[in-house]
Amino acid sequence: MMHSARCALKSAASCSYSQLSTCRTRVCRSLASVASDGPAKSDATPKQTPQVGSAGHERAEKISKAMKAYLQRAQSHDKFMTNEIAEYEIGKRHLANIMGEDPDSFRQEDIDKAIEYLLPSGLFDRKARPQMKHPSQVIPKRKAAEFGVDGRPFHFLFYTGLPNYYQLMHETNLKLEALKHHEDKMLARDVSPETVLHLAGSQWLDSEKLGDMLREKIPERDFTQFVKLMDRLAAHPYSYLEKDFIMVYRRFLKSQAMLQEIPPLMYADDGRAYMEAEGIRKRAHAKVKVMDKGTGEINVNGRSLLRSFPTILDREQIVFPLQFVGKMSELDVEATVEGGGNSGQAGAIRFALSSALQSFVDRQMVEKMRLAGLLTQDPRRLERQKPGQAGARKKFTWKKR
Amino acid sequence: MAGAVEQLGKCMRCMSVCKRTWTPAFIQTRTAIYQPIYLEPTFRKEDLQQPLDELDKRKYQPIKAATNEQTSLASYDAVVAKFIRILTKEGNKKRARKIVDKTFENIKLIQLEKYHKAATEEERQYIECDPLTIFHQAITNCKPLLTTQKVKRGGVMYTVPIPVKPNYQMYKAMTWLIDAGTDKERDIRVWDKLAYELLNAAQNEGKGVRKKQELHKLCEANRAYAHFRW
Repeated sequence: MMHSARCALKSAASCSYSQLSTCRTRVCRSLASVASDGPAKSDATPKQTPQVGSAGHERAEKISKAMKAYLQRAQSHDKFMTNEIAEYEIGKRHLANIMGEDPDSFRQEDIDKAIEYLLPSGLFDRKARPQMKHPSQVIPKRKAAEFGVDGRPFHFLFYTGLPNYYQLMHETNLKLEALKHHEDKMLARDVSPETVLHLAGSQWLDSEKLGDMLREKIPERDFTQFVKLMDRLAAHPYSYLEKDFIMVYRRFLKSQAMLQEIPPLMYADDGRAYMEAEGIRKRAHAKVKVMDKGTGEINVNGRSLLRSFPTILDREQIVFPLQFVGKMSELDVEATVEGGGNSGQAGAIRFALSSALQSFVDRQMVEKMRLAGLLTQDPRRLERQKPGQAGARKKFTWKKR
Repeated sequence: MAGAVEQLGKCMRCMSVCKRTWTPAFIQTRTAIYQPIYLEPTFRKEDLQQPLDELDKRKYQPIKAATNEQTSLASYDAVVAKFIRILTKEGNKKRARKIVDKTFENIKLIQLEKYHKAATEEERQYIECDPLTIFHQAITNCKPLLTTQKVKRGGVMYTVPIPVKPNYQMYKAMTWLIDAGTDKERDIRVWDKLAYELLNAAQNEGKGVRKKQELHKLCEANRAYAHFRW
């Protein structure tokens, strides 16, 4: 059984939800996973269980249409899953036999290797290549019943469509109001905040991560609302009181200084150290060779810098990294560029030169170069022409009558 | 009564304490090639002398590539770069740069001539020969402090004077100088006229400064409506 081109969706139902500390029980009830156990187990609260020997007995026995339909769907899904899993197990054994290995000790990694060997694919996207995975990884898990036997939803925000998201927003707002109240009280007592909450080095979760956390797919507009509200909470002078709450929704950023690998210097036959690098800017591609023990000579396509770039702006760009690291008269540069115009070519050489220079300087200087924007490739390109327009932005002259 | 006033004062202070981060209501997404996490580069060498603070954002976030005019070289001047950008027409920055370079050359020549023609040493002292200093002086002399805004109150449009933000001040000063420089006879070159205007503005004279004074006069005449700003 091959789930080719089926992407393995993240199992939203299985991730923990302990982060939302308040109202946890209420939320958990509505979110109880039903992927493995039936709906009867999930609604174990006294509200939903039939009350024996009371007035509610008659009412509880009536199962709503929605619940019935849900139970039916759950049953068919379970059946479907057992079939799929059985098929997967058989397929695995077949594959093991094809590969000439022991079917009992054939693991997922072996399956991946076998598939890659038997069905080699040149498709760029990994998700589009043939794959064989356990059905639980491929088939999206079903959400648990969010309503009881009587057809009433558990969650008070069920009809918003995004109950967990709106509950989070609601809670955050309450916290913000509480902080404002606290601030008023403190001001009345003439007390100023003790510390400040520093959030440098971390970032709000992206909408996908937040969605995983809340087990809901959060639209972009709602996500921006979330970020705005959280920013307001974080900017409050007493936000340090809610540090734990805030940090749940932030992810830590790595220090950028150590992210780049710097290749070591190479040595020519005469013992002269050199380094080579490539750079792109706009449509220009540049290859640069930087040599140690030089006199500060720069050649582009075999010609001097002055001859190849008559405008000062371009020459300044090329010299910028050399001047920045303070090695203008120590290194020789040989560059070849093709494609693009003057400015693009100069930019391509600048980027290639800066990346080659990394090997000649110490780590601190590399970090400084990064801060100066020398080690980032400029991703900006010419904006395309649009149909029905004269250019990227320019419109045709047009008169109504 | 005194207690109530005190309370009110505290409330007002509370309002000033609570700083809110400003987020634009509308963000143009089609031009933003860089993700919002990218920060502007610190491309001047002298700004990077000290190591970064542990809480500095730049330490953790990626940096945008320096643009082609941003360099650490001595020739770079942020105000001149801005002036060139405003002067640019039809995307031809090369031409704008050429005009500014020639303007500075002219200023230098004019001032040097004055310097050498000066009879005494005392006179020479007061002649500024650095075109860049003259340029900066001209810009600061043309910066308006106030501008006017139309506000509708009770069906009547009022001209209300409002204070100017630094960016707008700079922009206004530059556009006035450029307007003065380009408003000329056909046979006069831009760099000649612009040099003349910059020299005049540095002396607190000329068209650019006059524009500023006119605006200030208008604001002064409408000072009675200043409270309509709120």
